[in-house]
Amino acid sequence: MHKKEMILGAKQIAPLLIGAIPFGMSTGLYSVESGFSVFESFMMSIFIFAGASQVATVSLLSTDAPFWIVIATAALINLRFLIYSATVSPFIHKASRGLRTFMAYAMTDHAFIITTREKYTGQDRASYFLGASILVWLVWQSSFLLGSIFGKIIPDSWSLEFSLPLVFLFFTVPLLKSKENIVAASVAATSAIIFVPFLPIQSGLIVSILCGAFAGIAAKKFFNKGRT
Amino acid sequence: MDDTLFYITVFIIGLITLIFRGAFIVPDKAHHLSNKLEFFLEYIPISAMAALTAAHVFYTQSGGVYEVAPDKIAAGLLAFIVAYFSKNILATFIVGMGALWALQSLGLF
Repeated sequence: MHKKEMILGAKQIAPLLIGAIPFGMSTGLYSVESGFSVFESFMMSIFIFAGASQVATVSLLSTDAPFWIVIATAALINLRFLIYSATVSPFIHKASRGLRTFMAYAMTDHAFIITTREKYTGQDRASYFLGASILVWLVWQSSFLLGSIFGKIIPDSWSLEFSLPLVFLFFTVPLLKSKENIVAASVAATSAIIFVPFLPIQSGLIVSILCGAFAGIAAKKFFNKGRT
Repeated sequence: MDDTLFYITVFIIGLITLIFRGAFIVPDKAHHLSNKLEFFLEYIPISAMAALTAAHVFYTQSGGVYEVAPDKIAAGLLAFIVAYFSKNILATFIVGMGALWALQSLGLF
């Protein structure tokens, strides 16, 4: 591993983490506000280390959803990591197996985006990815812990749990740049509004995500047909 | 859910997530993602984000009971507009939370 490349990765990912701090704090806060202790919340964050699926897990566990629904929903949200794993595989394979396992555990959207961008001009993407991932992990876990500790002190009337959908919203907006993505997001959001409160065993979220994904695929086929 | 089942659930989710993340990295032999699977996975992230946002903005949930939350919907719409035009997380955050607090203190909903 090249130390300089690791530092470069950490330096260049730092500006992207401005969003990760409120997201981590909100997730920690949401977790304790949903009835989990600081220790339970932190263990969840250490084991899973994936923001969106942590939120879904907390949300479902706190409403006593069956455990297979909780697992299936989290798995569906984290399926995207398969794509990331396949994409970074060519330049990470030179690292030792132990390091590769750690890099897999610490893989995030942020580190993936910054490492795979076209304008990368460094010498060793594996070290760059590792440096970026370590910083994301540290920032996320400390923000999460701060949020979960101070969440108990902040009065409910502040409605700070609302900061969580605001962060999701912020990450969703830049993705609305193609017609297919707009269709997928609109269908998923509408389905969530319809299904989440009404479908049994808290299966609304998983159904909504699948509706959105299939609508996106259908839209892609439809728009591509129009272009040919 | 008791403590044991909680930790088992969290451990399984962590393990599945690690398997997804490491599927093409950890094994010594390099593998590739099939085009069909890649095609299916393309819209999962945006759908997950949109579904989570909508569910948390549209409803207030307490003890498994969902209630429509007009103040959160109005604040969420304002935040959406700010996020779209400013592309600034801090501005989105301030406008969204500020609008919610203002609406709650006015007691309009």
